[in-house]
Amino acid sequence: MLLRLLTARLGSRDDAEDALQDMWMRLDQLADQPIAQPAAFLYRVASNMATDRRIAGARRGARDALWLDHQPTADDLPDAERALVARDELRRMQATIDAMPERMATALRLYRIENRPQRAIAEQIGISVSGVEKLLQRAYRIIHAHHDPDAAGLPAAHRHDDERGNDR
Amino acid sequence: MSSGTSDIIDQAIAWHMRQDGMDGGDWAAFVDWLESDAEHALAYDRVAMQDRLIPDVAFPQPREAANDDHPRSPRWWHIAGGTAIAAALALWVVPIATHPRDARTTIATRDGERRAIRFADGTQVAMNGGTTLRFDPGDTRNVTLDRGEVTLHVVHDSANPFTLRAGDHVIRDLGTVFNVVSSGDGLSVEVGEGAVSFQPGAEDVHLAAGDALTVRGNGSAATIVRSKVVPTAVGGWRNDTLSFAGSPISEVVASLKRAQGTDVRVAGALSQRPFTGMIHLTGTADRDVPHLADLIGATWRRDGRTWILEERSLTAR
Repeated sequence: MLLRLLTARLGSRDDAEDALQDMWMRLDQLADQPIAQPAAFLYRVASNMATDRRIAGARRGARDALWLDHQPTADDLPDAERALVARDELRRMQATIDAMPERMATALRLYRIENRPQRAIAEQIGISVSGVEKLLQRAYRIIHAHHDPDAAGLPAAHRHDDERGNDR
Repeated sequence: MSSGTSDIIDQAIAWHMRQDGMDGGDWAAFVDWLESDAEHALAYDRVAMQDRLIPDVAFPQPREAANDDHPRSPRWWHIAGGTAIAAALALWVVPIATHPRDARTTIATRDGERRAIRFADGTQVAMNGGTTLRFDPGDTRNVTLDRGEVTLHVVHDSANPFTLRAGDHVIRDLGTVFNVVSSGDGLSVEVGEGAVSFQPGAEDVHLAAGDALTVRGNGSAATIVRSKVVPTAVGGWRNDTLSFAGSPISEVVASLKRAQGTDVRVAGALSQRPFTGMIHLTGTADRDVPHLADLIGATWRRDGRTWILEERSLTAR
């Protein structure tokens, strides 16, 4: 089932197997505290790893890892380009969150940055738990809308597809 | 993406928000959902990738205490505008202020995990993996780095200087971007912009942009070495770029562990050999460790989840 999850997320069984192997290698570092629900934990790690890989793939672009034994120069353009794309994404996210109603931004911060349970967020900002859920759902919806996922608008996903060739 | 798929996005968001509380059965249902339609997987992918950007963004911080007389961030007051809005804000800020908590907040990242913090004064702290920070939410101008690595963009205020403590060491900002690594056996400070004072009042070493300082060892046995860095390379870990100038391989490996959680053991005297260079990480240990081995002229092998680097001449290869 883990492999199915990874295959569904990564769009390729080879990538999924590779990710799974990587995951087993990292697991002992992740789990120094006792785990209440081992199965759920594994799924969560796998899901996060899939996202890691999607992002790394998008950021890496077509270029393979490059090791330099000197300081970066103007020749190092692909890097600069990559950083630019990342900065652009970040700027867009910043603008999105700046434009959010305060309460929504606060709920999102408590949920995503401080990892507070929704019940605690509800108490803190004085609305119901289902209100928090709706607020967060709307926040993610806004983020999605602002990061226009329309064809040319998402260089990340495109790069990734190009890079992987046509195994999808 | 056309409007007809908005339901799919909502479903993807709902799945994403549930993930922390899902049990085995829920996960199976999630996989079924992902597999049932290529659009599902695509929508989820976007939601998850966008979600990862959120911690890197500066959130408007709630005022921690009403009696806090530090200057407030100008941006905040722009947003707040009139007093009516300010009063409304105060209403929902209060529960945070009265939240019964330890005066000092601890924020920790695991190896391979990163986190960005923005304080009310606009000062930003980028935390690398394997890092623990402590501070009093009411006084974010005094922060303690228990271990790990941070890059700080400090908003300077000469009346209320920003001070970072790491072990016995104190670093005071003089208008600055700087990076600090603290580990059991040393401390390293690199300045990207502005200047800091290291051990103000005592040694009071002034470090300007491009200056670096490394302390190895503790107490009276400590040695302090000053060196130069490329200012733009300071805090390069945030872009998966690690730079070293004469650092022992053991520190290179420690950086790799912080950044990506990769466990690398260095055999024999190799760990003390100095390394100078820049490393771009791909995020995949399978690529990064063999590349590092190549770069330092070592052989690599894997023992379970640990990578082992060895001097090339010591092996049969």
